[in-house]
Amino acid sequence: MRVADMFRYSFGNLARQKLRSFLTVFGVIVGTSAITLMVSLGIGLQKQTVEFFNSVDFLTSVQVFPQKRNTSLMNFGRPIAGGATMKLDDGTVEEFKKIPGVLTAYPTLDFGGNLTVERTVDGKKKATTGRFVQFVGIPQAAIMPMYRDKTLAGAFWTEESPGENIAVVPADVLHDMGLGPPLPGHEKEGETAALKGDPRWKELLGMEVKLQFSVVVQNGEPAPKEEEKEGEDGVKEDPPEKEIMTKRVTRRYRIVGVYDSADIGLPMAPLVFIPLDQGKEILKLRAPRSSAAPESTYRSITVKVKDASLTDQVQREIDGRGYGTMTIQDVVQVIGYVFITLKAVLGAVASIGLIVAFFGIANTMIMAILERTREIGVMKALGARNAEIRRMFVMEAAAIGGLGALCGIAGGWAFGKGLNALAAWFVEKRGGPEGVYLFVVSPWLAGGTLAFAVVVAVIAGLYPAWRAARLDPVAALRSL
Amino acid sequence: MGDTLVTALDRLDLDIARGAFFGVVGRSGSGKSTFLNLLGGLDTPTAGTIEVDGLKVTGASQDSLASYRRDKVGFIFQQFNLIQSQTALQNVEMPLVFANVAPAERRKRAEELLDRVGLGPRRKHRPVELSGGEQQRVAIARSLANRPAILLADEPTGNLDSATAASVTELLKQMNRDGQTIILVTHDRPMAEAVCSRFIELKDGRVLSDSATPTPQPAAGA
Repeated sequence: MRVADMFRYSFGNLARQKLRSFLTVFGVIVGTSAITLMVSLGIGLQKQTVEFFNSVDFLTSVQVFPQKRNTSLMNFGRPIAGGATMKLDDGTVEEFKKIPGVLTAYPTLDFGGNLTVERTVDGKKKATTGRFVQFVGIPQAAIMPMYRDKTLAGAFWTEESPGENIAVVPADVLHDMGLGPPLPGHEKEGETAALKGDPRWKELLGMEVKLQFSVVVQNGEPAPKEEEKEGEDGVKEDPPEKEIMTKRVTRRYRIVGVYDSADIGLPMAPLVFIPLDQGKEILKLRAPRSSAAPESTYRSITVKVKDASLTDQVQREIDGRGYGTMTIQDVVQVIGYVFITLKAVLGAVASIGLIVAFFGIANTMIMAILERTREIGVMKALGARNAEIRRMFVMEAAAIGGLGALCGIAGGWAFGKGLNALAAWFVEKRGGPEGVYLFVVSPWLAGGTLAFAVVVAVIAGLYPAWRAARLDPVAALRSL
Repeated sequence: MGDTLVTALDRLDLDIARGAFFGVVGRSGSGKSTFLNLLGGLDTPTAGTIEVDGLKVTGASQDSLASYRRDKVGFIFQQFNLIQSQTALQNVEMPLVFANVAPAERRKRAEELLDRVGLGPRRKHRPVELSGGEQQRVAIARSLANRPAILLADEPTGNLDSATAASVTELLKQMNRDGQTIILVTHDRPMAEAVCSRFIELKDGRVLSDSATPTPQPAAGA
């Protein structure tokens, strides 16, 4: 029997009991559309995350550490124990700058702290409630376009040593502290949102903000690393009495720029940018955090390459010199592992629908065989081999699965599109970025769901088909 | 089925000549349908051998039996046994589908056969739209589709009125005149006498009489 004939008979037979076939197919539609919708949510979230990380700004960075780093899912980013420890200091920074393809290199300097502003209210000076922010010391050449291009007033510094403490601050942080207008979508009652060029942003320039943070000090100096001292007789001596305390440090910065922080997209603490040298000054107040690399001045160095295509090459070069390196690609890779798990869980939950459909298909096929017993007898009398009868019924089951999957995938896709439009409308209305999406149906998802549904249907059809094939032709011909 | 073993046919020793119109007559339960099922490869005997057109049917595998039914045998049933969801043409094409004949070729052959049984204009009709006589004609056309060595007809006129039965019988005779070997099973002895070149009468699974040997066989085992 030709495959085309088998197709014709299988689909023709489905049309014989239209309502029953429809109901069975509908079960598959529900199952496959649920799988499509759920897994496409996983894909959509992954795609948005990866797209964000893959924005050119991130792709040109190589993070360098004193020790090799783990890139596995469970221990991602942790130093690999037992490896060599390299030194990261200003000399290393200069060394990295000389590597071909490198735009610039600088120590990675970021510190958490409280940001406050003093305002004069009714002739009295009053400090606002503090807001936790991340201070980033960075050379101007390394400021990512995603921040640089978003200044609402003022600009990032052009000289690396401006002679005074300056900062570029995010607009929403200032607004939270009662300064400046709100960003679109963040208006409170009676407020009007401001866009780039609004004079209200300019009023903030020149204003002074305070960063407060704590440092651990010992005898009035930053606490040094632990060192073991041994006496002459080899007996460990008790370390001398230490006076360890935390000291509150306040630094003042003049606002030279305000940037739109609403569309950055990362759920992290707001970033306040200060020149690199000023970041180094804060570092001097603190003890090195990493006891693993006591010789290093810096915990990490950021190397910016000229073009994203050079990142791999530069990473390999630095890696080859014994340092630990990490790029956004490593992060994206490990995010991939997390999303695989997420998609598997979502898919497994949605598969319950298809398991229900499995029983529906098996039931329909058993009914079909009971109804067509005589017909099976006739086909056997006309020369159909058992294998052909079996294949005809398996294909009929597969047709139910395939037809249901095609409709279900299309339905899930369409429903996801609808939800995407709804999400985009909602986010845009609230002042968020354009083009937000949640559901993405990839060709792999569509193909995989189709194949899965067909396999499930075929398995459901195997037993009924086997029963049909082994029918005794004489008995089958006698049946009603 | 069941625990009791029933001997449906016993001590049957026959040679049927090519081109014969051979009849098997007997009452209900005489074993004539079993005879036809054995000959058609639908059933297998517990003992003995059957050879058709030089091919040994007994002892063949399930697949070989299917091939045998497909290539050597044509069936005509009392109940017509047409597939209700298929048109007359598709029903006639069915054995050719299992024989992997190309669609154009099998369509041509089926159309010719339907013309031959006088149903060319009704080829697009489904069985439910045809009369009993017409349905049996479609079944006859189907049985000839694979140009079988033997045509097995099980009470082909049993469900038809006498006028329609006569026309179907005439059609079978015509097929036989064209060289087709036909084995007809019927309870209607006068019909067998009228159309068959030779016939046997079965009773309780044994041959009671054979028209080729005028004297009745002595009761076997007596």
